[in-house]
Amino acid sequence: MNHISVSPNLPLEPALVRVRSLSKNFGANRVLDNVNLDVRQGEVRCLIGPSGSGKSTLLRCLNGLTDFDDGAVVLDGTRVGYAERGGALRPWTSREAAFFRRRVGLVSQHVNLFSHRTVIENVIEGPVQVLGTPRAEAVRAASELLARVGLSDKHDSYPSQLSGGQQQRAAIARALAMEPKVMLFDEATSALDPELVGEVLNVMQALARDGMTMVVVTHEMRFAEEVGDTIAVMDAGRVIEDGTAADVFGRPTNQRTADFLKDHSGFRRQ
Amino acid sequence: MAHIAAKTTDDVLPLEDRPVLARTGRAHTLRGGAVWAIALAVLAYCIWGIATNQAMRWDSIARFLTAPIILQGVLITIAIAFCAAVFGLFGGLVVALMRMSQNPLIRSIAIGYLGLFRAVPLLVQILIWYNLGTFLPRLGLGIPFTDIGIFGDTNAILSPFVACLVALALNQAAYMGEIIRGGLLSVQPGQIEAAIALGMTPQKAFRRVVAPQAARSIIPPLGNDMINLLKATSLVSVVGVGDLMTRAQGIYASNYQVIPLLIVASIWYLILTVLITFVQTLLERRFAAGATR
Repeated sequence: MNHISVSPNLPLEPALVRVRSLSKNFGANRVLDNVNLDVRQGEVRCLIGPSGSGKSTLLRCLNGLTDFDDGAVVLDGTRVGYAERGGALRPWTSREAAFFRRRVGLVSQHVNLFSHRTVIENVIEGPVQVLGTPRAEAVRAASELLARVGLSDKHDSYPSQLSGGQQQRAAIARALAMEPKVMLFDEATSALDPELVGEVLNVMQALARDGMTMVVVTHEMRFAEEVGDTIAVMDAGRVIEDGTAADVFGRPTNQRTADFLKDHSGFRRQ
Repeated sequence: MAHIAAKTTDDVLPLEDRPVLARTGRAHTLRGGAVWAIALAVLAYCIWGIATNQAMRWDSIARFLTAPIILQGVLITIAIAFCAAVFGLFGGLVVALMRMSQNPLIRSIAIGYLGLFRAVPLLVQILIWYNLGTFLPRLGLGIPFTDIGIFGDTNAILSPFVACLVALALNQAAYMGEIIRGGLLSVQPGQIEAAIALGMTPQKAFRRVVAPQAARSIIPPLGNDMINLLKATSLVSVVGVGDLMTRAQGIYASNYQVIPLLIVASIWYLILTVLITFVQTLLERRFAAGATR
């Protein structure tokens, strides 16, 4: 059908997220250099690589939070960042961007729960304010989500009263409340105390098991290896290696990948 | 060397076993009592001196405090302060948003406005608006270089009351603008990003996330500013609008009871300030949700 290289154990259907020849410059600095990436329905796609390699920028291009200079991102059949009119492209209006982002959940390193609202208010904020869900219905759904992330007893707590791990789990529930097609995780555990990382990774693992399509930027190599279906390794704005977790971790073909994994082997052996 | 060290408990007992010396000295209590006694004596002397001063005319103070002429002045003072505060709040929001605009032209206009209205003393601004008729006899809205539009006599439009209101409101908008901008800047950028990532439009994110969080840090300086505004209304007495201060001055000009009438005015300003402080406390409680401090 087309030239997309498909790993043998993945279904052969058009990818939910398609990134084609994506490039972006910050001034003279090329942060993304001709990136190609596919994410299939139900796949857990991990992006790893050294700091400043462009992983987070790539992730933020997927939901239109960051714009790009060249190439295209197509998510769930929608071209990200631009609307087509009469064969020409024009940038999205803020309304069009907002409408698109309903389909994409984002969990970022800096948790950013709304500090002036309780946990349950945080989780229903999206459905009630953006989707127009009736409040009672949204509260019911939010309670289920909070149970799923293990925060049933924290409905009425304010973010400042929670631990970092609890905050991050609440943030995951808040993103899930929008029933997104794809969940993006931007170093979701990087800002957490080491002993709180596990509880967040467990929630993410459970989410993966339930079939959620996930793009995960992470420094947790063990998580990437065990939970990730496919791994893209980035370096200096390029994808330097892309394949199944077993291939990338077991038989890296690129020397820089091998070096990077060796530097991070401490994370893996525990 | 050994002869210097006396055998005290300091040498014998390990640090953790030494007794803690409680601060229970009687001398300490006595000294505290003396300070209090002197302070109370000085205070009592001052109060006694003021209370028995013949020039104080406590009877006049009591009479004028609730005299209709003063009460009307209080109402006018409240009206001026309230209108200027409401305009200042909305004007200030506009100034703050313009000042934070991406557009350099809009930003420069706001910076120019702030520079001008914060530089010229309020008293001068009041006099300028009051005397505008001598410079621009006719005022109105219309198409430039034509007679098409609505015009009127400047002095008829800018009555002393309106002139004062315009001066206070424009001045107020400048100060409020900076207070509001400070509040908006205090909101973590990540909070806005989280709202946007959730699918909110920038307008909705402003209403639901930025504004309530900014309010938290705007309210204390806002209270300050409202109190300043209330007291600044006394400046309008220079153009004789009939506010509290103008009336107090008018009365003491004829009966020479200067201090008693100034005290009457002070008592009213004090009462109004206490009311503002009370409202500030209520607002602070209202927006305190989730605050760590």
